[in-house]
Amino acid sequence: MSRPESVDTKRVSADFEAEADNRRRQDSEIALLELEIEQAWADLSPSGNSFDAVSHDGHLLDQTASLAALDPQVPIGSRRGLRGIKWAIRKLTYWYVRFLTDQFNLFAGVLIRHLRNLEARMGRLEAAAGLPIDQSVPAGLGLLDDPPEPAPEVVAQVAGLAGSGPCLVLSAGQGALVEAIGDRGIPTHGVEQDPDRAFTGLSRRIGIRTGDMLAHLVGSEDGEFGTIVLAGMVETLPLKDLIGMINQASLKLKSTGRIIVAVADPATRGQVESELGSGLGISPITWRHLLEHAGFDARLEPCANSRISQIVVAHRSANSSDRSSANSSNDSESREP
Amino acid sequence: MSPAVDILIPQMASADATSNHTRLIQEMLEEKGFEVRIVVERRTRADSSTIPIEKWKGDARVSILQHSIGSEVAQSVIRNKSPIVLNYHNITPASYFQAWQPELARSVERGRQQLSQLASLTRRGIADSEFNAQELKGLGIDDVVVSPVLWQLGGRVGQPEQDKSEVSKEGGTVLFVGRLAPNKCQHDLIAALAVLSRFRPQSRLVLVGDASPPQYLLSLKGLARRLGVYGRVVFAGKVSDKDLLRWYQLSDVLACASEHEGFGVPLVEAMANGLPVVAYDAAAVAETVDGAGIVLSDKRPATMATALDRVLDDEQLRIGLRDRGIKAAQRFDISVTREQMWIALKDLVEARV
Repeated sequence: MSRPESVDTKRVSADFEAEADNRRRQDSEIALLELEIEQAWADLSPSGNSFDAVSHDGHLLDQTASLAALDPQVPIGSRRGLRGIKWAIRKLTYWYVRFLTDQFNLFAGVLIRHLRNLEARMGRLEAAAGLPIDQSVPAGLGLLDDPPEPAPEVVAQVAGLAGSGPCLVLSAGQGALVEAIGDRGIPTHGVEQDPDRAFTGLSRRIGIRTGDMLAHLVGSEDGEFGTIVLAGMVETLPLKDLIGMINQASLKLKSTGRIIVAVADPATRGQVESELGSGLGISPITWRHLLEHAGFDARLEPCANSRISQIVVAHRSANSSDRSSANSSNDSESREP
Repeated sequence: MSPAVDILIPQMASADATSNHTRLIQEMLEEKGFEVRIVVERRTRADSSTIPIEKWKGDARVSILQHSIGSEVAQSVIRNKSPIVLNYHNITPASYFQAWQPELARSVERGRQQLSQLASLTRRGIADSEFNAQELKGLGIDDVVVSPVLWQLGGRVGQPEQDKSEVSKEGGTVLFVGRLAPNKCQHDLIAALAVLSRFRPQSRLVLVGDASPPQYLLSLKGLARRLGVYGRVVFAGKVSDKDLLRWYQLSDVLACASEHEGFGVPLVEAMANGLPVVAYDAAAVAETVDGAGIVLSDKRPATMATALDRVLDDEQLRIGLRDRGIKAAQRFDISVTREQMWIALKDLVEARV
């Protein structure tokens, strides 16, 4: 294209369509893929056979959203008695219940925001008064839900420990880990729940997706990743979620893959954090125990960082495949009548 | 004393295009000294200034009906045989919803039936696009004016990034903004991503918008899983204006496979943000893009994927599309569209009874 303003979009569009036809002719896999896509959509759309299965295949929240979805535009009906009842239901739903719920949610949101602002202000006052920062709730930490970005020494060490690709970083924050591991030539992407942090990384063209980390893990292919890094928010999850995450990560990991855990030890929390975060997060030693229980060989690597003093590295143990196959055979046996 | 203008709309909702359009018409007419009432089917606490349709007498000099779906306000107009100005935003054909959400299909079908009945009561039709205008003319309405939907682009347009030229050879972010609905065909975009992944393994698709009907979202997720691209499709949901602007700025190209668009606000917003557009030629899409984007007559996955791949690949082409898009979007600046709407209404609201 010699001059941008001279783009003839009609001609360019026609060229692209012709090029697509060429690709179809030259690469039979593309033509086959188109057929496969067509079939997949026929199966998944309501006119196909398996739509009912799909309707119940979504995550619980999807199903709840589906159940809760009421259409205000539905005609109200013509028979007087039914019309009255339907009108009353609609009025109750839209004018009162929904209104009250919206107002309550709004109030709760405002309250939480004000409490967080208050907390942040107290933190700033403490800092201005010269109180040591580790004696107070760290700035921006909120109610123990927002660990800070990993320090450079942690980033460097985790990048050095990463094995084969593709690599997935859970709770990737602004993407420092994703960037550092990617710089080593390992295809890497991250998932971050906080849109503000994710956007900061995205604006630097780092491969981060916003969304729920466990949902992302569940949605990935089995055996897809060579390395899975658990960081950031993982340190504030309850034990049940952590075990679920380890099990899912184990499924999504290649047979030669590894899990790296780079989170702070709850024992290093200050008094306030410790009370607020009671029951949330586990120590590196417990991480090692859980990973070994899930069939990994785990070790602790010391790290020269005040928050994250140990990084857990877990490989598939030599006999884990035997163990998992034994488990699965036990499972299948137990299911037999 | 009767007001000069009544604007009839099913409901005034926040973050709703037709409601915002109505508010902007109200503002414009009130600035020009006319009294305006908004008449609704369902009142919300947030809009206590509206009046319910039950109290509407049809005695204003001009009654403007916002019509995009079957509604009780339209039914009242038909029942009272009140002459109206029909501001038509198009109605998605029921066939798109029949299999997914029959109630919604019935509702839009009712809207179409009402449209036929409204034709004989229409003093003037105001259509968002030439595509919509043709539909009104087809119903026998002779006096039809094209005046695009009014909306404040302001919060959704940032400074286009002049240096946003590099897209990695392996990646690229494809964006679509709009309800997740069968007529918008987001499934075709997921299909295109599956093919695009062959050329660009790190490419991703961002779908902004809430689901209606919700079952369609489940099927979209199922399709993405089955095609192995689930991890690279971002279902961003409904987002604030601030986040929408960030998505526009972070994306590399806007793709649209929609089969039914009465106008296409996101196409204009994307162009205003300097985002190249690759779209399927359906309904009002081509006239909205107006030669400033790639408009394809075929949306098979490989065709869409090839066009996206080439746009992501060719920096000069992207710059060319960006410049033309920014220029094309200026046609829909609020200062321009407000004037068009005023011209469409002026003789009617100024007429002495």
